[in-house]
Amino acid sequence: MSLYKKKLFKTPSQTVGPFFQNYLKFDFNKNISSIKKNKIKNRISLNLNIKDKKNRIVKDAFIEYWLFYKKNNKKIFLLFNRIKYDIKKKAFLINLNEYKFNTYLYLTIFSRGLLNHLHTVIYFNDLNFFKKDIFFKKLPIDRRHFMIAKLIKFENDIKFYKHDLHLNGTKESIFFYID
Amino acid sequence: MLSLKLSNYKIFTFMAQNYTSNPSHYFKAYKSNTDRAPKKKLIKIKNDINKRQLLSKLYKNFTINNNLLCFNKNKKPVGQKIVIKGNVTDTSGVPLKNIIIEIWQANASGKYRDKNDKHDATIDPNFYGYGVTKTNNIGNYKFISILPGAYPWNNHKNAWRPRHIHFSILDLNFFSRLCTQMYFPGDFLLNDDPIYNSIPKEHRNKVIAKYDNKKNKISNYLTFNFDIIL
Ligand SMILES: [Fe+2]
Repeated sequence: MSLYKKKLFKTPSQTVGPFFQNYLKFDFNKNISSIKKNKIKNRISLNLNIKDKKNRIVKDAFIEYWLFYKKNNKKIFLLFNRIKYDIKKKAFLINLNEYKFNTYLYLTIFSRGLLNHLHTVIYFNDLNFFKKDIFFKKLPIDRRHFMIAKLIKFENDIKFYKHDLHLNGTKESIFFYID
Repeated sequence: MLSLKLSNYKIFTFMAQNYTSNPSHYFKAYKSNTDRAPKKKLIKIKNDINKRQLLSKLYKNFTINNNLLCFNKNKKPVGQKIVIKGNVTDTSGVPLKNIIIEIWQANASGKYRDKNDKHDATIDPNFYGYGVTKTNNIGNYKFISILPGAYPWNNHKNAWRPRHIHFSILDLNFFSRLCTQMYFPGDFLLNDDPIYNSIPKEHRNKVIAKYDNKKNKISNYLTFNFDIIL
């Protein structure tokens, strides 16, 4: 590593503000899911809420998720999507058409009030692989259970999960920064 | 003496690695930040994603052909016509191609197309306010729009947001994901804006575009240059 390697500073982050809903592109995978619907047996539907310090639901936010699974300890990328708050379902809905036993989600959260976006990870409580996952094992013991979505029901080959992300407060989720 | 110098160097590199141009997560003057910014220490993770893996799948998601923020070429929105152009590089100065850039902004009167925008100003039927493009082989991008208006907000008494354009920059790797705002040079509202002032002082100039009409090839447009480093 060169001591003199030129390194520029990144362009600073700013909040996305409250008015992104009618502008940014959302729900990229809608078409894909309707085409493939009949062929897929194993689906996940995650009902996700973001909560603030006072336990109020944060609606003026959007989420980007990057679905990975691990193969021989290598991350394999499956899909990217961007979603906004679903007013009818009262949640952020993450629908996954394909999953493997070692599926987990990388989430990036953008919101009014957040000057920087936040990175986090969600595991699924019945997909036991997280117990052996090296990354999961490194997370603080007292807070890592905040990263696991709970299976609520299993209907028509769809697994329904529920999970709350806490931006702040006693149940604050674990957030990451990238180096 | 030598050992002293070495220890100085160690401290310096330590600071450089931990120093960022980003705002801190918590910034008191920005009211809606108080209940949303995480208070616990963030955990460092390594950038270990293979970019090429992500490339093809990501592009299927975007129709990247709209760098015009009006509805179409024949409609003429109110406001000064502007060109926003710039270059996207990594932190070593290497131009980045195929970076997806989305921008959105208020119209000339400072109004967004959003039912939650309570600002008592008019929606311009000829102005849409969203554009998406990607950088070319040498990292350049361009948008054509109008100068956005400033608008009031509830952060503090008589608060106004300076004129700005929201930027969403999507690399093929989520580790260098960036959402930011581009401001205009000489805006007197910048001084009192908590969002802009949340950036460390020495890095604030990085979010202000440069007025750059000398190289402008299109007449009747104000041209601004906004370079982005991911
Ligand atoms: Fe704005």
